[in-house]
Amino acid sequence: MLRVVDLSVSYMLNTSIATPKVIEGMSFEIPKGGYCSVVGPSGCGKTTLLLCIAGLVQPAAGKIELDGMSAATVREGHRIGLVFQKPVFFEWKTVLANVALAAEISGKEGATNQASRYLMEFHSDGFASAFPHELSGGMLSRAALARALVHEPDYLLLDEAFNHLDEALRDTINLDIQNLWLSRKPTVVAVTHSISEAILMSDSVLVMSRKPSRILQSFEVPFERPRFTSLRADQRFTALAEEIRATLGYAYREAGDALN
Amino acid sequence: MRSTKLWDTALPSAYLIVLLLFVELAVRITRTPEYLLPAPSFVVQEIVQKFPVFLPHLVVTMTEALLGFVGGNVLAILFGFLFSQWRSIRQGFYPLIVGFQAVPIVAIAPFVIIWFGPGLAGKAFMAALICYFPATVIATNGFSRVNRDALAFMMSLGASRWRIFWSLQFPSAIPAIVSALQVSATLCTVGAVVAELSGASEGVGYLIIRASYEFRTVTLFAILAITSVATFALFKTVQLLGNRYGRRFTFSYAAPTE
Repeated sequence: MLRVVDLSVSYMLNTSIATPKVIEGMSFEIPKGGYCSVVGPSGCGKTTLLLCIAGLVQPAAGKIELDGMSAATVREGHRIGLVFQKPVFFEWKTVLANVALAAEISGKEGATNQASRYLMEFHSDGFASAFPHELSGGMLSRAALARALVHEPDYLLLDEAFNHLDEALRDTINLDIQNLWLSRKPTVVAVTHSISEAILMSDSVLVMSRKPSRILQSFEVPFERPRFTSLRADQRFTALAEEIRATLGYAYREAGDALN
Repeated sequence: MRSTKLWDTALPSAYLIVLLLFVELAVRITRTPEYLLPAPSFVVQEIVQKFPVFLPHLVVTMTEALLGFVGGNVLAILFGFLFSQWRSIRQGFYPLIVGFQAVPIVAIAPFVIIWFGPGLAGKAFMAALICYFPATVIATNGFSRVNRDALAFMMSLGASRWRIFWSLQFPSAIPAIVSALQVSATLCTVGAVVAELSGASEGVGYLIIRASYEFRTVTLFAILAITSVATFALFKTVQLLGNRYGRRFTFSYAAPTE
């Protein structure tokens, strides 16, 4: 279970004036093996939230517990897989070696075999021996997913990793993620801009406010698994999307002039 | 603009030939005495005739220079590594190294001869010393300039400090190390020759001293030319190896970056 209690995060500034809060008094819970998406106005600290959960950013106040442990402990135990907004690859290693590196770091036996298996899982085994610059953004995004999962983490954190891909490709990749999630059940926190993607993938959708951000509202997504893209035509889907969109719109209007 | 491999070599060569022809002509027209400025054709003649005499001395100097090149750079890389791993060492020591660059290293040559005697060791030490300071500064920059995204990625996986060093920091420093080697490739001969000028019984520096005592300007130019060619060859070799093996240590992004 992922518990975020009263979390506050500030930007570190080299001045004595009060540091602006990015996140203030944020609380939510995600059950173990749950799939949760986070939407919110741009620049509201969604990435910061993920980095906190990954133990890469220290909160100013409040706490984050992953199965009762601190974020840093979980990270050091190689239990976190993070797909960054702009996944970076080492150009001097093949795609396979890039993925295998993640497995090696986590002390996995047979890192290369594990890496090939996960590349296959995301239909990217065909370019395992290519170098990163030889691949398109879509192919590298798949490889980035394989890399974030190759060490079989308990937590998968996705930071708008597919924003730059076209919708059809995103759907394909998302369905692959769903398959993997259904079989291995890591706890997923996915930051996204797409409300329809959030609903399609998640058990619950959290809507964040503008800075200093907190959770405005949490939406349960009731649909059966596995889900398919045709779900978007369902009336309950569109109704839920409209509800979330309205909340997000409120988040944009709320205190809009008090910022920046 | 044409830019082919052949053109890149041909054009500077053509300029060099024109320049030499100009000097040749100027010397002949003004009837400049040979001891002041020998015509390039005389220098070429001198090189051809005396090459068997020059060669063993050139070998001695290049050996000293290469030993210094290796020693100075190994030390530079080691210090770059130390500075990148322990902030307190860097904070205390790095400014000194930057400062030491202001010391005219060539002026140390007489001491070096006193410390090491007139043999190979002193010359190699001098060559190492002259390479060491700039190479350390360049290598240290290389070790410290690590791609932040790659670092965040390694940390998100819970990578240990040594894993981050070997898998990320060291490879990232390789392009800088290649630059350090290129700079050193031209400096190391300077170090060796300067040390020889302060006292030697063989080597290019020794030849220069002897030729200058005898006012044989043409010999001086001939020695200068062959030493330059040897140094240039070393530089080019380092550059080619660097381009061949050092260029791939960069990063690719899955998403467009602004």
